[in-house]
Amino acid sequence: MFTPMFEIDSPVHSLRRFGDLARLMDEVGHWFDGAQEGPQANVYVNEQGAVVQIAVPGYRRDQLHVEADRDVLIIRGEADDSQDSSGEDTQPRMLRQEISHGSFTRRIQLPFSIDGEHTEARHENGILSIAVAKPVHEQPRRIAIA
Amino acid sequence: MSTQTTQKNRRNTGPTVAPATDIAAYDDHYRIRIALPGAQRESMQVESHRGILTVSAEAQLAPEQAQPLLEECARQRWQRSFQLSDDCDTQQISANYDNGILELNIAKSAEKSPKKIAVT
Repeated sequence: MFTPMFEIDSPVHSLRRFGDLARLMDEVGHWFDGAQEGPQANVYVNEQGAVVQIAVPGYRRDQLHVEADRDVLIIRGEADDSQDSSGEDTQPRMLRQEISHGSFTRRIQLPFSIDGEHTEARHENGILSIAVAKPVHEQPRRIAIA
Repeated sequence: MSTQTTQKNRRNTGPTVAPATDIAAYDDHYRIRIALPGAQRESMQVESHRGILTVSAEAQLAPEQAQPLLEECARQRWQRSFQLSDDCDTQQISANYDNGILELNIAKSAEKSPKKIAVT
């Protein structure tokens, strides 16, 4: 995890360290919640906070839940009650079933405490996109030289 | 590894993978659902040729001006082909993309009885 090549104060080193932590924490959280296989995710950081994208094709908006707990973002998905959600009476014969329809919990550890009030989530084209806000006092601030 | 190279690599598309698919058989049609989360519509292609249905699409999700911590589905390229069974009516295929799922409905042809050929 510790890469001696980078300076300790350099932003690249910090990101590398948090990157490893994010991955490790996520895998541990994932294992403990008992989900078989969680949806895929992307995590990016910028000055305002982070952008988290989760691939959840086929899940309705009301089946998805996002929570923030200190510096951990928790995304939950509910399984479909019925096998066939198209509302048809006749149950089809499934020749192939590869798309996940089950419930899941995915925890994403972030390198800052989450400002839940200013965090926004959007659901489009099967992607849950969360703009996670960092508290204003943690965002970089330019200091003028008098 | 220079920062320049890393930035350039970020823009490339990853390997081509087969998307997860559900296939359901109804009495009068087949319903194929293909998971293409975040796919760009312009990149989506559905082609039916000689009994083979091919679907391809791409997704580019990485936002500008942001450092990646984790990228599992940022640059996707999907392709998958399906062999259509004899009872598929290839003239009646509809495609609809909603909520990250491309849904194809293929009507089944009316039952054809064996054709009798007279011997002269």
